[in-house]
Amino acid sequence: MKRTITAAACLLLAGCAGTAATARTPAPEARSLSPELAAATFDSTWSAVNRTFWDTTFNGVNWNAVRDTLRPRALAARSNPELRVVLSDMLHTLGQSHFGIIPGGEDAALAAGGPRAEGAPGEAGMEVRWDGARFLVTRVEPGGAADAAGIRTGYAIRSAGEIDAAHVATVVPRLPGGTDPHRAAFYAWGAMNGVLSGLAGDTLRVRGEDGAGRAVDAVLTLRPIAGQLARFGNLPPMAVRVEQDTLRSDGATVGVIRFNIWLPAAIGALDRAVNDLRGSDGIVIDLRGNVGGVGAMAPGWAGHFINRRDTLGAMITRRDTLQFVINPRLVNPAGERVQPYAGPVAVLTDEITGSTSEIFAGGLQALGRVRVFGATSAGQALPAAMPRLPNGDVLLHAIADMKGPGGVRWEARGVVPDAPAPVTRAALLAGGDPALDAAVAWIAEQNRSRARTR
Amino acid sequence: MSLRTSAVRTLALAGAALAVTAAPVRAQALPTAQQVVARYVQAIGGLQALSSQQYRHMTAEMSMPAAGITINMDAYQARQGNKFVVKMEIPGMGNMGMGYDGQTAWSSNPMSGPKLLEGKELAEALRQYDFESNMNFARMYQAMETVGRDTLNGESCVQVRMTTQSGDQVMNCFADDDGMLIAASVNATTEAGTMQSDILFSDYRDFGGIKMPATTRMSAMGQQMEIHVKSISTEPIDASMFALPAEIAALKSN
Repeated sequence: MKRTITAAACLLLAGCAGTAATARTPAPEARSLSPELAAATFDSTWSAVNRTFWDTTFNGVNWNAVRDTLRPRALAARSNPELRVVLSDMLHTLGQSHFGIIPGGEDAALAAGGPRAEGAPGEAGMEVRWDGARFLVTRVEPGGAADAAGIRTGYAIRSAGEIDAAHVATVVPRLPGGTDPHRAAFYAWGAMNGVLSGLAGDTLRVRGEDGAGRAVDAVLTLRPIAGQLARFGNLPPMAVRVEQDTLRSDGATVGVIRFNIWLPAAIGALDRAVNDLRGSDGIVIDLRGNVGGVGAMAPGWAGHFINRRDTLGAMITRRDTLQFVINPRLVNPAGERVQPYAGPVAVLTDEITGSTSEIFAGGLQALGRVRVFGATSAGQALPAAMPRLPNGDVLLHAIADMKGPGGVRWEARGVVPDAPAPVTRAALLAGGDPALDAAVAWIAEQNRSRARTR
Repeated sequence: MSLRTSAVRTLALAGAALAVTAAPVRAQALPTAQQVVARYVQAIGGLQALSSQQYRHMTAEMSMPAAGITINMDAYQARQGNKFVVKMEIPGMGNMGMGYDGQTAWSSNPMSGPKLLEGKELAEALRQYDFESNMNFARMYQAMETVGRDTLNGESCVQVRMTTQSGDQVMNCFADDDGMLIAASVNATTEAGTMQSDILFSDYRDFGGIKMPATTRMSAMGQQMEIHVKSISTEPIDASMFALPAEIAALKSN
């Protein structure tokens, strides 16, 4: 639970909704939102932040003045999309992550890039990252829609559905922090991620270039999602994927665990994965693209790799400070007594690694238990809550500051890898994975070192 | 203090709550803490009724709007051995629980796994789930004193500060009109740190000859929670209910 329910999940779920609303002028439409409901929703949003923001200076913002300035606009909003623009503008003044509006009702799943109500959820079967001007395909699901359409890792995407790279490049710098390439990558990813899922059978037009610079113009037919569709609390339904693999390199056996979100639906598979890979010479935990989720899962799962009571960090509210206490996991899923995994552990991060993933990676890094490979994480690590607003939307709002062991703060800074291994198009086209390759090589070296000392 | 209060405190760690509105203090002589709690015990049914209970099984529903979560809870208590088991079912997550079989206190949930309670956490759990927690204040607290009056939701109450054996403080407020406990401000130390919770009790109903609040609202960590008691049975509970879960037994097997 959360003090525990550190929301996190999706800066993008909220951030993107807010981003899109801020970036565009809503189409004119008949009034579908009463002034009374708009006022109640605005006041609830303002009050929740006023009551819970841990910094009583509101990060230097005059919160009362913000209310007085924006409330008339909220009352004039004629629809929920219009109101979201106002609410997002208000929340953005704080300059912190984990503040946003998650559309409710019919808009919810669509805004989350998730499945809609009227059919089986589907997905494009590929992941992308923003390089400042275009999207690079960083992963293609074997047998998925993108794979079937001939899309390969390393391809450049100029547009997909309604998302156009040129437009993204124009809009993103206008968003809070959007001139920072790191933050821009996150915003852009969020925008694109929304169109990469929908209903199975939906089509998605993709335009770009292959590795030789030839034009690619493909129509993807979305296929059923790989993974379990899960709900938790006020979050929209999301696909949960937990993958495990075993690699061999230089005589070392390396277990790899990869998952896309910290939702309770993943707990069983995550616990089993650690247990299955217990005999490996090292374990790689791939948190690239993992935007976070339920915060309490981080210290819980960290207990598989720490053999003493310790803390991953502390959440600091106006009057209380609570530790994310690690409970060493001494019983396996079969109910047998075990010891936490003691071998070398590598964690992979990138600019989409956010929130709970940062608390996990950064906390264990600060404790000296893991070595982090890849790119600096999103820098969006604040515990948050998600109350529902009077109009049915969900307010994502941070309720505490977060500091890791030794006082390190990941918000805005991110988890800095011990071994930077940024993704490159050349590596992708060659079928490589610089971060994973470096992590596996490190584990193999650790294995050799242990062998020499035995 | 009752099982409800304990559950609230436990779940405060999960983040929930309710705001207590302070109001001007009335100039009026204060009764002693002993007088206040004696009146409270009488008001909820009297020592005899309280002493006659040997078991309690409470079912309740807890909601946490900030997370969009509603939790179903069953809490079982036995006077003999001060045994307790609390079982909670959280949609989308699974089952979690905590308990004490007379020798070993434990907690277990899918996120953090099973663990044995130790140190201050153990002491706090045993204090919270003491079967006599709502009747034997003298045993539960090393010190009690009345400190003033407050008005909560228009209701005047006497504030009694109580200090646990471990030094944590609870500020209870007992209604002037009927003596009921209507609010508490709890400063509890847990493994995760010290956390303050503000709690309001209302809708007192008769459960097996004892009046207990059917509604509890709490605020902690800036969040809110509500607990609604659905039923409380005082029928005998099978001893097997308090047996250690398999994963806890495995932990003890070291």
